[in-house]
Amino acid sequence: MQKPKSNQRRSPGQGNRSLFHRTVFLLAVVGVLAFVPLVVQLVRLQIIQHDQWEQRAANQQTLDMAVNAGRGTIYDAQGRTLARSGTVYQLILSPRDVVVSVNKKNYEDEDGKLKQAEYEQAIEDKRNLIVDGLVDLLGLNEERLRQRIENTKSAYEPLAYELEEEETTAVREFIKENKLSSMLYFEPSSKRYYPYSSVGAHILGFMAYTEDSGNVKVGAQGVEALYQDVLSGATGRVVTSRTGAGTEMLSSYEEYIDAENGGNLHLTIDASIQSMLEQALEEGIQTYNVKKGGFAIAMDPSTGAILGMASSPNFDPNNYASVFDQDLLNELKALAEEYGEDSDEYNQAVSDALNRQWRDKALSDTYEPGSTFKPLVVAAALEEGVISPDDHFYCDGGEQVADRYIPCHKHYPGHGDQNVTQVLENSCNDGMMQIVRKLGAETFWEYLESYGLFDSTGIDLYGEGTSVFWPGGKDFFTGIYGVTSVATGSFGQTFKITPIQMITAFASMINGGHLLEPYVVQSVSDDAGNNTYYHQVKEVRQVISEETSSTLRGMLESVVAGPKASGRNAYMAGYRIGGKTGTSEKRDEDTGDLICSFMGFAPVDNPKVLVLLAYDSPAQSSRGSSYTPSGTYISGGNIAAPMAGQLLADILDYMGMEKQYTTDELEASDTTMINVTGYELTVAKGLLTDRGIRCRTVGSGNTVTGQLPKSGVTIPGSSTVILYLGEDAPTDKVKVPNLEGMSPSQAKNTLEEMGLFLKATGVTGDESEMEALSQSIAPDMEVSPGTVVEVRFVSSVIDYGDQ
Amino acid sequence: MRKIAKRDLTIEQQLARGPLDLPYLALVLLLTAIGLIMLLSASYASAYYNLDPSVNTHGNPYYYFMGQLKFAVVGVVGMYLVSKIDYQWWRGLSVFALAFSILLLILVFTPLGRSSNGARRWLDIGFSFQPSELVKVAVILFFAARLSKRKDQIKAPPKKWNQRTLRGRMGAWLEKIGLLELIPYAIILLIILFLLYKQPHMSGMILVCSGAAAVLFASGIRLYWFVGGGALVGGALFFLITQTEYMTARMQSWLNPGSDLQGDGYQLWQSQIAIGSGGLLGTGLGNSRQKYMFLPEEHNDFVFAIVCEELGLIGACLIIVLFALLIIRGYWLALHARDRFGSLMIVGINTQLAAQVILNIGVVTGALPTTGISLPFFSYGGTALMVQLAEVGLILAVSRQIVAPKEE
Repeated sequence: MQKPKSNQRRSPGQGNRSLFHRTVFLLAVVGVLAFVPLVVQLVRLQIIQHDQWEQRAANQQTLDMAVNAGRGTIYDAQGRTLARSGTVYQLILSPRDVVVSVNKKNYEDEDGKLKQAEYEQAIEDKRNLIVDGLVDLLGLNEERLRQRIENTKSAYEPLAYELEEEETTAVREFIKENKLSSMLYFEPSSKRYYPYSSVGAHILGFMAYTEDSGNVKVGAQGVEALYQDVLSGATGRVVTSRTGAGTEMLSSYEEYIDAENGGNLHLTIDASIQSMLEQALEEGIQTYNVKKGGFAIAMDPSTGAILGMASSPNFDPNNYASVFDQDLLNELKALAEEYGEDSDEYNQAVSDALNRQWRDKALSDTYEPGSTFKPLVVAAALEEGVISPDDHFYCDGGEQVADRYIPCHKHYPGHGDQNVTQVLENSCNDGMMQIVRKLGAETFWEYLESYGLFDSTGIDLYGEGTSVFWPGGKDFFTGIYGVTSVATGSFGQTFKITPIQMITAFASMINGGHLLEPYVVQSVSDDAGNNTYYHQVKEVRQVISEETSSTLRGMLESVVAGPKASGRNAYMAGYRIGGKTGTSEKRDEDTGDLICSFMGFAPVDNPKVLVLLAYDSPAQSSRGSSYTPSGTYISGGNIAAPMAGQLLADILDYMGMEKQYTTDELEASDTTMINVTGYELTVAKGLLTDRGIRCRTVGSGNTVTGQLPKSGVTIPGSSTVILYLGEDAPTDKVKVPNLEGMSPSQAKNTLEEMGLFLKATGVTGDESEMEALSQSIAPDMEVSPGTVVEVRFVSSVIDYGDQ
Repeated sequence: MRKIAKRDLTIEQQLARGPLDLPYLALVLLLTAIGLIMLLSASYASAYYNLDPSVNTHGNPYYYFMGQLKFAVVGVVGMYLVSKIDYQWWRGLSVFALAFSILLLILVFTPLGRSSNGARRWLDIGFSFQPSELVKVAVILFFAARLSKRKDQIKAPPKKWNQRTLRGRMGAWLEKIGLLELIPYAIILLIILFLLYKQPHMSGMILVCSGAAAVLFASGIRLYWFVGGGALVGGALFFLITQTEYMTARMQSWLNPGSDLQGDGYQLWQSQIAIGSGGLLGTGLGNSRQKYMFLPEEHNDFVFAIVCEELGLIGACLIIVLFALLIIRGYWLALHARDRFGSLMIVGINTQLAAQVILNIGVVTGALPTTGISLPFFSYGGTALMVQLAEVGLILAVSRQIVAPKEE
């Protein structure tokens, strides 16, 4: 390199030499060295860390928009809509854009200086406009709204959720009028509607935000939860490049994945049967002041299809987060008055109440089945051949088992001599203990397993409970210390199973021995209506033979039809009902409370429906008392059986089952009144007698001038009609008397005196034990003479199925 | 005006008509052209979406580019005209230039000034411009003019100090260590720095300091003054960083950009995403994604991040090499300048330019904390570009007077 010094005109000196050196130094440092760390940094970012930066870039630069799939509809067995989704809107406010929308330029003076006060006033005015408008239109909380609109950092403040289309119109108008679309807008979202409100709530479940659901509601219970993936369908995606503002970028790559709408569920649940179950539950709970609710299940025993499943207290899935049950509401109200609504006690109670109402007792809870379990043991013993139906068992009021004396509920002298059917009819614990001793602990254990009581039933619902058996398992049970457990197990105590396990096992016993997997979803259909899934009946195993099953059905019919049998209150003429009562102690509570249940099915020869109905803890007149305050003996036979009988009859009627009468029943069956007015008395009497109708006369004369009832009216076969001679039948309305507590003959006489007719339903048999439970026309109602009043009779049953 | 024949020119005038340094000119024009293209690419989205509320681009994606292009054309013409002026004129004019620019700096605080984003940097006199741009050059011109005569001053007989008085002995000692000589420069610098500090204008302060320091350094001021001055500046910076919340936060967001992604760290984070995702070859010219509203200031201070994203490591290094060559050539011209004034002037301007480039790239890549310095020839800003080209004009004016090496 040429020495620059030689080019300089000035004489080289101290100063110039230092200028030269220092400039060269600067050249080296500033011109070369300083760039080295920069290049190093670039290499670090662009080569060494390239992958992670590219990942970060991709994360923020791609816009992955979800295209919502429509959630499937849930139908009941008749095609009625139980749950459907609709579009709703949420109102979003961007406080930041409220500020941005006020143009600063308009509030600058000539020097470009901002007139702060005026500018701020303009922003305030805009806020007032929005706040006032929304408070007016949507009734939002003004204070809260003002707080949120002043949070200018935020660009996304959801103000109102789940607004219906019609609710949005006024606000849309407001936005349009005041040109607020940049700061106030609607976002569509989806809402689940349950048109039948609380009917089948526990089966359907509800939609809620869960821990990992993000900002979409997902099914949180019932089939909504279990079939979440089927119902929700496949969310579509649009992947595009996005800008920093979150909008789609002009060009660049795009990728579309179509959304697939969710499948529709067709349940085995019938909304009508379901509401019958719920009504029966509710009625019993009200009548007997049942403290802890109850459950009811209706199943088709030949397929395992659940026709209905109810649990009380109940909730409304449309509004799942508020307490629905009236009793719970009353309790909360009392608490609120005592402690105030802000108290911990109140909040705890609310949360407890919500948990109680969401819990599906029929599915998740376990209980001691009590005497309803006895037929299963009898079936096992018959199947194993250790007893035959004609074997006799003598009940002397109890059994000595190991070191304990376990009494029958009928203490000494006990039930006396009984055959197997009578053991069931009497629900005799002593007899059961003798039978199970013959069966043997080992075989009993095998049958428990065989009935599926150790496993979950496999029902397609969320939250099936787990049965609780004796600690120590089989080894304990079959060992010397298990003897007491074997004895108590024979009448369904000292172990706990879920109601769904109980009904599934019971179904296997009456349907020919097939243990089936219960289910609630019959089929799944796609958008076009094609089935994508159809449930095939799943048989888990054969538990007992068809023959044993048939024997048991006959025995269980006797339990209901027998005039002295424990289940007689479930008897309904015309329906061949079989069943078993159950009254079980709640051994893990020290309250003396009982669970009263009834397991019934009909028709006996070919069961179409099997019902389990249970009430948890009917109120006792005093602690430990066996009677309700109104004097009903607390037992499954008195509390659950009458309800279950009516329920079965209603269900069978609804299903259109032909009634079947025995000859006795036929005699008491209905007949139609014919016209005899205008006939001679003797002719009229003859016509009536032909039809088995008795008559009495009022007035004197030979020609019938009036009759009660009119022709065409259906009356019970044994009724006495009234013929009027020489006078017209009265037309003045009469008041229906209160018949409660009367015996059938008392009721009949009372009614006929007033020109009304009795149709007795329910228990038949020994009049002295029967009393009227309910009447079809309420007392004091005014009706025309000749009206038929249906009265249901029950008789008190003592079948306290525990030692 | 009558054209003066070449033969009538003085030697000085003839020298001033010498040829421009073509390599330097070529580098400047190349960088200006590349800078314009990159600005177009970087500002496209910002102009299209009209992101900056203080300007109305009417959604025209070429808005920033067209504005910059006009200034570039005017600037190149201006550069040529400045290079035609005999730079010796600036020796005398520099005093007035400095006084004038300081006056303008003061005027910023009168109603003529305009503030934006909390800083009062602009003068609105028919058009809007930053006096700090002017003062950067004026300081270099003045310092170079005064320090170029330093040797002559030394030659002059030293002032007689009365050794008998304490004052005299102090004075003699102060003169011996070279402090007295520095006082006028120090006062001028302090006045300017104070005025810039009041604006506030951090990057202006850094650049004025870097230009002035380079001139002082090259002119032969004793090194320990730089050591002392460096220590002083370092101490002041340390104090600022540790004692003021604002600076501490800034340092934090630099050292740990991930800690505050929504706030102060956002810009640096986005810049690093842009650079890092560019990789070796880049996404291709015009294909930056980060310019779509992710990276703020993408056409101003952070344009280099978009360069890195679109052109990759190779393109970025190429541009860095071009800048380095420009700076090296600048120093080469300083080494070959005809006189000390020319040398010092080039050293000052060239160092200032280099500082700007290095600091900007350092900030954009996250190697240095944020300062707010734009990238010469690339960043959007009409006045800045014109001043840069005018400065280049000054260097070219010096290059005209370099005596061609004798042919062998």
